[in-house]
Amino acid sequence: MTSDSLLNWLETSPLAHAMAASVWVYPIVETLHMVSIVLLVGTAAIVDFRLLGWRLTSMPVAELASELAPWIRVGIVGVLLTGPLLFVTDPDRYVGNFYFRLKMTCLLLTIVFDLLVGRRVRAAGSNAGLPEQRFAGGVSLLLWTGVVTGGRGIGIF
Amino acid sequence: MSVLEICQWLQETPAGRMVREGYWGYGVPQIAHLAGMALFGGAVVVDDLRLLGAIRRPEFRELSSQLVVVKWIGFLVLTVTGILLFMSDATRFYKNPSFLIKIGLLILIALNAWFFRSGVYRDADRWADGASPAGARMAGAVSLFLWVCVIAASRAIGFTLPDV
Repeated sequence: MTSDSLLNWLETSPLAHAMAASVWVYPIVETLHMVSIVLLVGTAAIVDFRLLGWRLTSMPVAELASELAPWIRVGIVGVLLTGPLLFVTDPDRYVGNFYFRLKMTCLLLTIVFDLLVGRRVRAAGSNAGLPEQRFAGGVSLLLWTGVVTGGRGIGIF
Repeated sequence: MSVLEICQWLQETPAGRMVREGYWGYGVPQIAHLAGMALFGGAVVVDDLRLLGAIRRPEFRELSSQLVVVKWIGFLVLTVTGILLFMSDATRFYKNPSFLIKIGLLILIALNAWFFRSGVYRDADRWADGASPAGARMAGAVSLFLWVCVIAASRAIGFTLPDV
């Protein structure tokens, strides 16, 4: 299957039809996507601020991260359920859009960075502002900024 | 001067024109508005979840006061970019039902926070370590609900702009 026919299939899939079933579906899914982003990026940023040694330094990194982890996960599930639904409504437009590509690239890098570095750094020491903690927090914040910039940019530019 | 005249004047100011007509002039405030929302909304949601007991540590006062700076930065970004975006299309925004609902919801959020801070929060040292009292849980739940409504109203603005 070529990528063109894959996009074509997505566009005519039952999912895409469901998204077009009512004028209400799209804005509702978009709202849920936005709520999930606020939950995910907002809580992840708070962990990053802790890693930078800026906020909540009285609490060990690992403890704060594990308190917020369930809500970060709720945000991830939310964006993964709603994002693809928005995507299938107009796959051609998204695939060719620079800001969509920027968003997906930053998202992918965020995941890879978290699996390779973030996870290990959060689990390790509890001292505020270790160089590797600052590095992990800074990179993560930068990548989230890229995700938000790309995400908002899709509909504008 | 009527509201309409004020809105007409606002959107013809240099700032109003810049945001309406500029390529980056419109995009940058939009992106910053969303980033501000993630900062402010994220910090408020974490506070609310702590009030509801869905997050256990640190104690509410510590958490809330540590996040004050984050909330202020987010709030400042939201206010500045929000006013700029309003100015760019003021005559359409002020008649937009979704926009008016959003402003109404923001006033309710401020009132809810004010009632909480001037009420049950005053005794926070007594419930700091244990479960929050019903009043605090209520304030957290109301805040969460209103924020979801604000986001819904924000998304709806673009779908309900009157033709001018």
